Amino acid sequence: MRGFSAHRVACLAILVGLLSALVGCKFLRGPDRPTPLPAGARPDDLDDVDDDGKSLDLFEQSGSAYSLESIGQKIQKQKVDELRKREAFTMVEYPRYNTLLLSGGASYGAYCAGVLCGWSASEKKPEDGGRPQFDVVTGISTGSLIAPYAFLGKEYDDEVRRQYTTISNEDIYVKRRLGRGILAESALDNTPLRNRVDRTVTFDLMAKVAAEHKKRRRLYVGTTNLDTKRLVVWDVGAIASKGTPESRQLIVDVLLASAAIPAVFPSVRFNVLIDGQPYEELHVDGGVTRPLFFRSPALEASRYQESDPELLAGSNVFVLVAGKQYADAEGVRPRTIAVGAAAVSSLLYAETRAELYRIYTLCILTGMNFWVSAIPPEVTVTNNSTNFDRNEMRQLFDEGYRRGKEGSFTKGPKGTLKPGPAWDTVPPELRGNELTRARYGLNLRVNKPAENQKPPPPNPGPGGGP
Amino acid sequence: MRLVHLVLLLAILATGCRTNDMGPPTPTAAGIHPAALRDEAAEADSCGTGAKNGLFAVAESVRKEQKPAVIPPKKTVLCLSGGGAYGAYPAGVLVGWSEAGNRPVFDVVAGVSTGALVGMFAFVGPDYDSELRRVYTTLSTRDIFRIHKSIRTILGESLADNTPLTCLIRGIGTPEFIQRVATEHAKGRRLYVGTTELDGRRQVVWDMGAIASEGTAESRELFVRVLLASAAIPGFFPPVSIPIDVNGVRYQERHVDGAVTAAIFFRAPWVPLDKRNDPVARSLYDSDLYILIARKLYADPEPVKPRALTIASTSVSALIYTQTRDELLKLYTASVFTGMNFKVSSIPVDYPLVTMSTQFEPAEMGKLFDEGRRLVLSGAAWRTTPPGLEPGEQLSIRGGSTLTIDPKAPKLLPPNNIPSSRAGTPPRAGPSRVKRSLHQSRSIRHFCHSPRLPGLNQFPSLPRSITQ
Repeated sequence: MRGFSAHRVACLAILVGLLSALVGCKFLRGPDRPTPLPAGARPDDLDDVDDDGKSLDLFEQSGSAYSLESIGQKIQKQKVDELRKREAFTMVEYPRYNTLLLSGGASYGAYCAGVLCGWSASEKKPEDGGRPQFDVVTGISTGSLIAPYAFLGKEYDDEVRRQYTTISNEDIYVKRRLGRGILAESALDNTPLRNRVDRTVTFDLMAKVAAEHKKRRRLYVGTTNLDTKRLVVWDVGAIASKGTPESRQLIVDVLLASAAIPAVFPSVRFNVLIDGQPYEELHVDGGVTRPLFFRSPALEASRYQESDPELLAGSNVFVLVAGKQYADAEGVRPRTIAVGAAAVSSLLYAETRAELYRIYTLCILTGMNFWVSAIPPEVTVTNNSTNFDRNEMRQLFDEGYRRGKEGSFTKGPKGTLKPGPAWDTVPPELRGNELTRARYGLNLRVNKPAENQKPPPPNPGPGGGP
Repeated sequence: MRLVHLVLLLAILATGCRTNDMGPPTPTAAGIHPAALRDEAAEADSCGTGAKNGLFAVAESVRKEQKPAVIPPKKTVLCLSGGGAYGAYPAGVLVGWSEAGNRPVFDVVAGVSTGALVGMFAFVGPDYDSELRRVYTTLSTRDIFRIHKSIRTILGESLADNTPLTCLIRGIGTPEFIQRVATEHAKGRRLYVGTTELDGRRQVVWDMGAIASEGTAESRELFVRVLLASAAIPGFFPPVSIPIDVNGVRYQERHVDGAVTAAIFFRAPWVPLDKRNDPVARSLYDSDLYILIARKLYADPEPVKPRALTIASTSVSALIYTQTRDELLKLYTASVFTGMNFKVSSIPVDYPLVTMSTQFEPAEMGKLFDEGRRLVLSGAAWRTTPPGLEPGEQLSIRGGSTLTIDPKAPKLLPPNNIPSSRAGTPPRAGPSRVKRSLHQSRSIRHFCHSPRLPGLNQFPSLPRSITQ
């Protein structure tokens, strides 16, 4: 998957695949293929019969020399103690800051929307595990469309619900005529989405965001600058604080750019002034460079020092993933296009897992609490997140709502939170049955993880078992 | 219907060449480095992740805390990323390292894609350095693949036919060579290769030493296929079929490039079974973790034309760079929590890459090889910080669209060094990238008709079942 000609090939494959999907042409997609797995087995159930633990995964939980969790707890305790001493607090209040990270994932965003609404509906106080006011909300792609509402609070839940349960494809895009789709910069025309976003970003909404910005709460949205292939983080609160029609337009553009799936939706042009000179930048979906991202809370200037990451100790980082953590296994048709598209989709899932891992380790180093919620593996979703199917989005929303309402948090000891089944404390690839096993040959067995191999009670992972 | 699609395909290829120069230039076209663009108000407001170097300092203090009472024996792990022809860089580093005389015997070598190939030579030892140099400095595109000529491109499983690469790997993976791997395996050293199981979309890690130790014709065949699969760029090269037995029933898996699921991966050194519970034996404190990246850490900025195909290809490229950096951070934190010494080497940011990673041009690969060799010999090959900490790597944060230029920021490469003819003012009106790749495929076609290299003819051709 490297090099430009290879990318070109992969992208060509995606584009043609996309087009053939649009015109419903089976010819290019090739024949159906079953998954090469015994019925009911999942890829991570396969073990090598010769596997007697010959190869070691670094952070294996059983008998591991390195337990990330215990390192994290040690660091957190140490930092909180330091803070107490230095700031002469008799009691540092938990949680100190609440950060919400919303990932990309197009129509799967309905799950995140559902969790948020369900969490509000549990009607608990934040200290009892209810939905807190988030000090920082960051959003990528579909997450950036939820982010302003999540930032403003529970009173916008109805709007979030409406956005993710009543829309369908024609509210997001119109198909271009085939020839034009190829010649233009994107396959689809997202004018309907632009109009929707334009209607939702009102001066009233901006004023509310600006008021919260003043209270040192932050709303960040990420886009990708195509030329530089780097993430650009936009401080939406700061932009909203200007309150001008231009800043309103900028917010609309930023939200649209963040959700501009490359080549599917048109990229967004930003007219930037650099030292007074006008330039034009092309931005696309933030998910190209980061599936989700963390920003620190805006600490008061007097307390913020460059060398003080301790200030974050005891804070909560909530991550809502609009998708599963592992792609569903699926027979890939033996066609260039299908193989290319499957590979790009795998790459996106792998990137999300790597990013979760990275945020998890960041939490360990700074003494923050890491919580992640993703669509559980047993929920059936179609493998196409760009199809905004009203029924499926409703189902996903309801699933999220149910989990958010019943499975969020309860009060733990000493003002900590105890996660319910909706939230996991460990990123994928670190859970017991997700460690990568090596293969020594071709003789495998299906090894269903037994009950006692599930992660211990503090991590009742939603992705923990099949 | 078929005709429509063919026309569409041609349209896609053709439109890549159209220029569109409306509006003001992009900062990149004007030669402004992405890290030079600043919004100072927004940056001052944003606290980042606690603190820029503060977090690094915290990480380093955590590393020190891992120090055990008994310092365990030092081990060395080498991880290699994918990167096609850019694999010449890690190859050069390894060869230069041997010349410097201090290349360690790696306890574990874990490679993906081109890194699997380089890693295999690194595993068996410096006496294969000349072979490593030969593979990465004398072979050209025609020794690796041929572009399919017909409609098979779309209807087949891949755009290119990698039979030459199969022959090449078969030529390297002789019974004697595989026996060498088995011998090293018996000493407790480990060679791992990562592939991606296409249907399951999961990474599969293969213990190549264990496979080699079987010593049968089937295991040698598997050895070759795993190497081939690890380098099977999806859509470009065909997936590699690998038959597996699950609970005694035969299934067929198809594997592609390991980089699809993990750009780099780490495996811990082998510990004898009876010492698994001994914390000293399992400790990795003060062990060395070397990572060789066969590309730059950040993609070269280049102006992107507003065309669907260009945008899609740029995005996939950006995604691969992102994934590599993320995996690198993963390895960095792993090194922090275990107390390993983290050392990474990648193609320097100012090195002018003029070819794509799928273009195997001996002259360019030779230069890249020499660059790796030169850097390691001069001691400048390794950095100990994760990506994001060096100048030019910081995140850009904005509170509006009015920016300033940081005069201290790094400069962009001059346009004629940007590996694309789409830079602001190209020195001359060269062919566009698409034209160039078409041109390239024509020249490949030319080679398809010319007799194959005598060296490759002596290897038996692959049974059809392998690539299908």
